[in-house]
Amino acid sequence: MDSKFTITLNGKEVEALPDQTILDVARSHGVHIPALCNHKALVPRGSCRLCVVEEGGRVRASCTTPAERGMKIVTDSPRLRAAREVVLQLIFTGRNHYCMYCEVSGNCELQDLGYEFGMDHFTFPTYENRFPVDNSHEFILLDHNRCVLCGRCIRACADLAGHNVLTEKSRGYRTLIAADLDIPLGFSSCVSCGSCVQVCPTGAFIEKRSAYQGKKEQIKIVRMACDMCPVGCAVDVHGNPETNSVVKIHGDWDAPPTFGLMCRTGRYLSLFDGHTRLTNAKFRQDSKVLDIALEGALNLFAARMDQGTAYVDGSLYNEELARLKELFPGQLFSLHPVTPPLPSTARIRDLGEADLFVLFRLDLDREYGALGSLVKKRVRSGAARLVLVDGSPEVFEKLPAERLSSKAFLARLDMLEGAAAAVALYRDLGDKEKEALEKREGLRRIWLHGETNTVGLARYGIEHAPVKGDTVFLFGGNLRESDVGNPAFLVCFTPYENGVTKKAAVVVPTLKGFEKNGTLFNLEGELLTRAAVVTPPAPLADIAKLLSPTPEKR
Amino acid sequence: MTKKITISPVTRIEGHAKVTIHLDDEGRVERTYFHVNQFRGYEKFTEGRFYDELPMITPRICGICPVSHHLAAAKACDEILGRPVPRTAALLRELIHMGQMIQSHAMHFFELAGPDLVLGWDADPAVRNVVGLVRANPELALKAVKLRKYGQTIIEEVAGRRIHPSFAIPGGVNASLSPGSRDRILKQVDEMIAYIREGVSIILAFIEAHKEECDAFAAFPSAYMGLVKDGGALELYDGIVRMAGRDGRVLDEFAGKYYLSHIAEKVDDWSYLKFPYFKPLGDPEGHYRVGPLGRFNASDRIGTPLAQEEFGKFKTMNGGKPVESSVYYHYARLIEAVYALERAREILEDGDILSRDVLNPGPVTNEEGIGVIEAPRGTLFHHYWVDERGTVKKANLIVATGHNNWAMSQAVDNVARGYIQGHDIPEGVLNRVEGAIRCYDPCLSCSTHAIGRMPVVVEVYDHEGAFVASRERA
Amino acid sequence: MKTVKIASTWCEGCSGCHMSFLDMDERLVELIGKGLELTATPITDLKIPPLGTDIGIIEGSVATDHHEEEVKELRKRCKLIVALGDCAVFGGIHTMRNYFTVEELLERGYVSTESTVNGTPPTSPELGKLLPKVLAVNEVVKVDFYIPGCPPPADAIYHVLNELIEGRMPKLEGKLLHYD
Repeated sequence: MDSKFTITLNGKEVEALPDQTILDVARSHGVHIPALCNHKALVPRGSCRLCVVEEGGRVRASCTTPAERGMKIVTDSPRLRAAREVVLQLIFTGRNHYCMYCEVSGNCELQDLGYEFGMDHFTFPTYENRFPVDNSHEFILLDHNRCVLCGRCIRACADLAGHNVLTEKSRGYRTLIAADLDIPLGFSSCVSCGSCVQVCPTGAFIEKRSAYQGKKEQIKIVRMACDMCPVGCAVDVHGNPETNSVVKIHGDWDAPPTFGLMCRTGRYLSLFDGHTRLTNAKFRQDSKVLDIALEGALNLFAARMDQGTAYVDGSLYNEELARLKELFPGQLFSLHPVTPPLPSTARIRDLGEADLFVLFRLDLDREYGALGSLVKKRVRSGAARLVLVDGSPEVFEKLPAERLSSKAFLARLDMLEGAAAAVALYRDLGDKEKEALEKREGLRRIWLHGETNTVGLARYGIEHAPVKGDTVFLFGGNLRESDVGNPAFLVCFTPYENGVTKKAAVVVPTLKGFEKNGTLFNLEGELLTRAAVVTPPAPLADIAKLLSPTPEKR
Repeated sequence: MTKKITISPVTRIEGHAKVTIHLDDEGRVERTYFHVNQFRGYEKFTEGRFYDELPMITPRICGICPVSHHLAAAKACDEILGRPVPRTAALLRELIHMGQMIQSHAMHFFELAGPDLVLGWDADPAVRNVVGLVRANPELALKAVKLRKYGQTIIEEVAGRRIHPSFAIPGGVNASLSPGSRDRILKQVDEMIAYIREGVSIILAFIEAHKEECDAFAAFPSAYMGLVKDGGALELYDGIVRMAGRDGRVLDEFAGKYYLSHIAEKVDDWSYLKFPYFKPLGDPEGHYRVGPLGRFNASDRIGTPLAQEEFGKFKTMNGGKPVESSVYYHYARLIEAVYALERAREILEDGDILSRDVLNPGPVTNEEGIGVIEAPRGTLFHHYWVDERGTVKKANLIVATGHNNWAMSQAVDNVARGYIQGHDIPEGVLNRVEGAIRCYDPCLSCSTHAIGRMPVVVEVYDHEGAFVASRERA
Repeated sequence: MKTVKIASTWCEGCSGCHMSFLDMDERLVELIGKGLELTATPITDLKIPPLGTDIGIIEGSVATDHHEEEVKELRKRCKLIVALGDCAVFGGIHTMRNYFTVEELLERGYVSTESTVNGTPPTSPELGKLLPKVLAVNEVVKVDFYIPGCPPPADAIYHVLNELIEGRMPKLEGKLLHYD
């Protein structure tokens, strides 16, 4: 086994590590080699041929050539420049690139290469063949005219996200990225994780909801955790302060727990707010609803605070829970259960080492999608088997799985013996299932609770209790009518109008999502951070500072 | 023997045009043709694109008024999106629209038409251009440069760049205005108004000095069309369409989205530019004029004080009847530039102008959208049909200058007949024919959403149409 | 003072590049002071440039037989040809019509558009015939210098003209080189 060794890079001896490609070595020593299909989170493919270097008299792709002891590499020479220029010309002229109206102009890796090479005209004919535009998908536009066939999307979809939707069809210059067996993307098995869009170096994949909403120099990127579910993927939120809006959300390739993976909910649904936003405090008397000043609503609340019980849902951040605990000592409860049927014993990273997954009534394409990716990747690699208990046939339909009813599973518990690193994932469990899992000491478990900050609720000692009493105070963004009866005096602190607020005597509009600073816990108990990137549309209540002595209206 | 005079290309206009004048044996004008020699195909090649690209694709129809297309496209896309545009976004869009009016009108008057008005129709062609103006009257030329720069700077400050900005998108705009930008733009309004008024003195002096000639120059009756609001005030950004008749009375008013019931386009074999007309009156009765003179004849007043003063004067130029001579386009154009400056100031002083509530995005909800706006040269219609996902199925564009196609042909014919007697044609006369076209400040790249080929050539054919001889002008 | 004569034309463009040229604002006056002389351009009245013109600037792509002739004529009469803007340099946005036949384009423009009444495509010999494919200028004549952009920034145009007037070969890089 080789340990460190040296190679010669442009005449200088430099250190190289085993498993490094020539490109890796060059980059680790700050030597620039242009590349396009290469991506730090993806296995190299060598499609573009821009990263060519000279080695031993040959011209080779540095991204797919392992560095070997004693190699003499030249990264820049007239021969290499000529080769790279021809390659770049072929890439540009092979498709139809119109920078002037493209959404990613100014933020495009192909364009950047053009500028780097000083390309100022084409040397081959182009703009002759029309390539399709696939607009069948709800969120994603696929314009084949802008595709450079780098294959990053295919690699991301398969290797990173585990969905294996994208592939190539046809040959030569007619090659096209295709979904499943060449059906429109919107009808395919795509689950809208968006990994393809994020890795695409050009404007071939574009997010329709985000297009043209801010140029690169306008965008501010803030790192935080996603708060749409308890997985807590690390994300880069792209906001445009000039429009006070969030433009798009990208995954962070370097950060746990999911290293850049995201899902439809976090990437797209977080931007589509179908709810009716509350911007005015309301007061209801008999059947009349009046808009009142925020101060007035807070006064009404403060006056009756001691007479009632407060209930929170799992969307609130830690600071909000802490403040409510101060305001309602002994009178603060959770609307929804905070205790698991069985506590978790595993972390998200354990999914990457499992050899058996047992999923109880979960569709990990529709929820906790990043975890779904991790499960799928592991199963596809052949390293783990998959058992779906009470799953409907469409769930994970492309994967080999044993689909068992609960009864059938309970009759086959021996399967758990054979596995050295089995992981069970569940939201709820029947009594017999509970028993079966509890008995197995080596079996790892992850409880996927329905709300985001359930662990926060537990950590702050806020227990579940059904709503009762005449004076009730509700706090949260997930309030449901089924949680509440018809208390005589109901006050809701929530961002949205819904069936519950329509019953309330006082409605106080609050901050939501991208307007809040704060922390929360993910399902592993990791502390996550949220940062405000937009200012609210009106003066709204900040629960974390509710009735603070130093009034700080947001 | 008949002779054909070809003027190609027509210079000091935007786009490609040539004029052919056919003379009879006595040297009298038999027939003139105003050929627009440009066709691009936007109405076809946008098919299959996602609708939100249209505000970025369509400005490439024209580099002088890209903002008009950008905004008309955005308005049509707003309808397809189906969400209301925040007030500040509408104000900012109107602000860059005013910037464009200022820039385009100033450039046209001083740099395209100006050389004729300041140096004279018959001046030596070698100096009868903006450079000649710079040499003859450097102070004026500098003001002209500053005016154009000011209009362009408004666009740059608000939308990020001067030509083909990426700013208006379905549901609003993608940037807000900073206090610094607002103050910078506000500071210069008065100075610019002063410069435009110098232009007004020039045109009024020119008209005064050549009153008879001007009043007869390319003067003919027509209908007139423009956007209005608040019961008849001239409107450039968002209003309803008004069609006024040759006597100035209102024939009809309709919301822009009903344009298909009111306007039809005819094709003639000798021009790539179609001929719109007002359907109830048919062709040729229904031909109308747009742009500054058209708008002024169609409306009752203009909404800002200094402009209204001049507007009132304009309305007296033909004894209270619609002003018919094409030369008065230049006057109306400058008055509109004053309005644009005053309106820009109003917008900048609006309490909401710095708000960041400028964008209301979402998914596609409608399958059709129509955007209507007054471009510097006339009413602009963008009409798109999309499928349920927003892919463009069809597009129809009627572009400002197109509405003036008939009028420009009339103007050319009128001036040719008026000035060409016999076979000896001085160069200044040919320039007047081009000057007739220039009154309309045509934007031919726009209207044909589709060094000349030859110099001026006089070709002589015999009565059987056989070529006899030709003479070239350098 | 040595004069540098320039001519320009626009083919299948939108005139945005010429507007960007005017966006040099006062710097245009400065260049004229340094010897820049405009001969035949769309904004001057000379219709055809003299032989031996120093620089011929072409905006717009070649889309008709008229454009083809125009561009070849300019090549004959000018020592240097500069392609100005994405249309002239790369082909530009109007190449989007290349994916349709000329018949389809004319049919939509002159027959089937909803506002057109009884239309047929124009056929007058005075009008340029559409080439089947819109071309970049360098597909028709040799180009000596390229200024990409849609439109190119006024700074780039100024830099190029200034360098040429002062006898140097310009180079576009950084903010001066962009494709949008």
